[in-house]
Amino acid sequence: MISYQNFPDKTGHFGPYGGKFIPETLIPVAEEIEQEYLKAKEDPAFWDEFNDLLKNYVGRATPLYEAKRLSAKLGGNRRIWLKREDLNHTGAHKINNTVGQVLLANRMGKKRIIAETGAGQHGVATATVCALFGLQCIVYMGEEDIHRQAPNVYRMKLLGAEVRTVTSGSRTLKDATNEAIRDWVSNPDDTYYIIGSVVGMHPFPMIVRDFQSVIGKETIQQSYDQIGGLPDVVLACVGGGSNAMGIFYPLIPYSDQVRLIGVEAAGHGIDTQAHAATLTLGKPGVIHGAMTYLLQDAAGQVQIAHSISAGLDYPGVGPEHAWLKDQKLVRYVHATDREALNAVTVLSRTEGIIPALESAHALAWLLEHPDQVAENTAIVINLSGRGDKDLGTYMKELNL
Amino acid sequence: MKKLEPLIHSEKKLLIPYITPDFPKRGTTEILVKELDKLGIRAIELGIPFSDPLADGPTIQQSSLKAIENGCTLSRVLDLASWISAETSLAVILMGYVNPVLQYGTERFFTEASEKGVQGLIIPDIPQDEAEPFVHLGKKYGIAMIFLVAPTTRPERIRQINQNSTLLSYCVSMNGITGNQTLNPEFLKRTLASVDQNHPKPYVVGFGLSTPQDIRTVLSLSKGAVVGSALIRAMAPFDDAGKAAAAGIDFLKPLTGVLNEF
Ligand SMILES: Cc1ncc(COP(=O)(O)O)c(C=O)c1O
Repeated sequence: MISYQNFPDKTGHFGPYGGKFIPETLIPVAEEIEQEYLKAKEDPAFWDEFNDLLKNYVGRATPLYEAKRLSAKLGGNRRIWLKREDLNHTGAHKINNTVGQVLLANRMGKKRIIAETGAGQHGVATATVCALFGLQCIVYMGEEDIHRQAPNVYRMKLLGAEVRTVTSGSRTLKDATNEAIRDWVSNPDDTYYIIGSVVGMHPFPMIVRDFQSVIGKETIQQSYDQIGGLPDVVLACVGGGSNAMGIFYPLIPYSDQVRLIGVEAAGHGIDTQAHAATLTLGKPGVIHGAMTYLLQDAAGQVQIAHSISAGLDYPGVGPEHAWLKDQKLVRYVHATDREALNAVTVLSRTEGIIPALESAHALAWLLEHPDQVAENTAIVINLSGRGDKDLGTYMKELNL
Repeated sequence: MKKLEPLIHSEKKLLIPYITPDFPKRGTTEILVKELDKLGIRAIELGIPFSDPLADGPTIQQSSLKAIENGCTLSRVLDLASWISAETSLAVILMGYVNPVLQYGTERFFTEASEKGVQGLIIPDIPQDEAEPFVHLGKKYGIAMIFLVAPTTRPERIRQINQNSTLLSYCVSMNGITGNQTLNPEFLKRTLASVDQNHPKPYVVGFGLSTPQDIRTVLSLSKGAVVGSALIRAMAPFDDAGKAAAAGIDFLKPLTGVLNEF
């Protein structure tokens, strides 16, 4: 067993990454969440409630499904299994995290919930649990994302959330996160910030990872049952990195047997300015309270990321991924907008599953680079979400 | 710290303008600081523009983006600081987020800042938890590290900040970001009562100050007052460096008047 599983350390660092680079106002608030989480973590009643909601409300366990026609298309007796996070209530893995965090917020007596969202999946998942528990919900969303993920904006409103349009900076996820943090600085006493990925200041990367790691735990169990052992390769898309951390984390002790591969968004291509391949092309820096890889210019100004997929359109990445990259425990690769769109069509037509654009990046890399995975192997792809929210983009981009 | 130290130890209160450099136009800051010197201002906070200023409201965000567009890099800020130190009597305190400093090279930054006469440094996204390298370099290069205290800061932490801040600390007047025009004197008094008990060093107060009455309230309770967004708002409409600087001075005059009451 590799001891990296004990990360982060007491100060919230993963090696040189992570930490708490936040205004002083938020320090006691972040400490309070950490203390409450560490207590909850030892409380069986907390996990009973969490697991009960995941089972009976979210619909877990999600299937591990063998995609035979897709496997045949790839060839070489490479057998592909899909971890069906798209079948979760609200359509993505994001709800695993919001269920856990809303339970924490409840324990802390917080009545006002804020969140940022890119694709709108985290916003919907947050609005959903707020409706479930009768809490006020405010979601910050970039103006550009409000246009490209319109159905999710409506869903959030239907669920009773207030969606606040963010017009500063990139008008996407980065600035939605800035605005959520600014709101939190202004309302530290009554507000809980449900962050949507394994990003931001300690303790969020740890907490979100722990709630999402249900994906990896189920995958291990299901792999033994269905594949007869651990898979050879596990693929997940990486925006902030929560679905990837969720499936990778329980597998890190086995990373000598299981190749873990994270797929970033290459946008128009990594030789252009328009991409979101943070781990591939970024340099260590500070964003949203954490030291991590960051897309930035030579002066340290944060660069605007680009991906056709709103959920991957982010210039930072979770600090634990930065550490896993440096330790070479996970390999990070990338797929372009076009390659992802192609993967959407392929999966839809071979398996009858329309994936989210984000998730399609993981498959896209495999379709583009089959030779990078040996023949006669078992491959698990984390299918983090379904494509309903992306139909507008598909109608525009895919000429059928 | 040669310029800053006597200011902090003197009986006189301080009014400290926060200036976004090269805003709204290149050339503005040079004109502005000359006039500030004549107005009786003794210290300024000079911003290091950053694309994602987490603790700032729209006014400072937009002025920072404008400054970046105007070519204001960290080395430009250091050159400006050097010019101001040579041409005026003002003590220059730099205020900026950590990432540009890290990319410049933290030690290189401290070396050059001290050569260029920088007196102090405020980094709002470096709380005590991440402060150690900065405390160390501040001592090594003779630059005062000025840490923030917030209304949410607990007593033991205020004591730690008192210890780590070099000459003074910076107390945030409210739970919020810069540019809110809602100073609540009762809330401020409660906050500062706890600070006074745990923080023997002097401190200045900032965030949300814009009127002479705000300055009066703050100076009656602390060593100094910092005015940022309101000054930037006054300068923002002007396209011409001279006019923008003049608008800034017109805005600050009634505020400096309050200094005479103490
Ligand atoms: C379906 C789906 N997958 C992946 C992501 C990317 O986030 P993360 O990298 O945190 O899993 C998103 C974000 O919105 C998403 O909606």
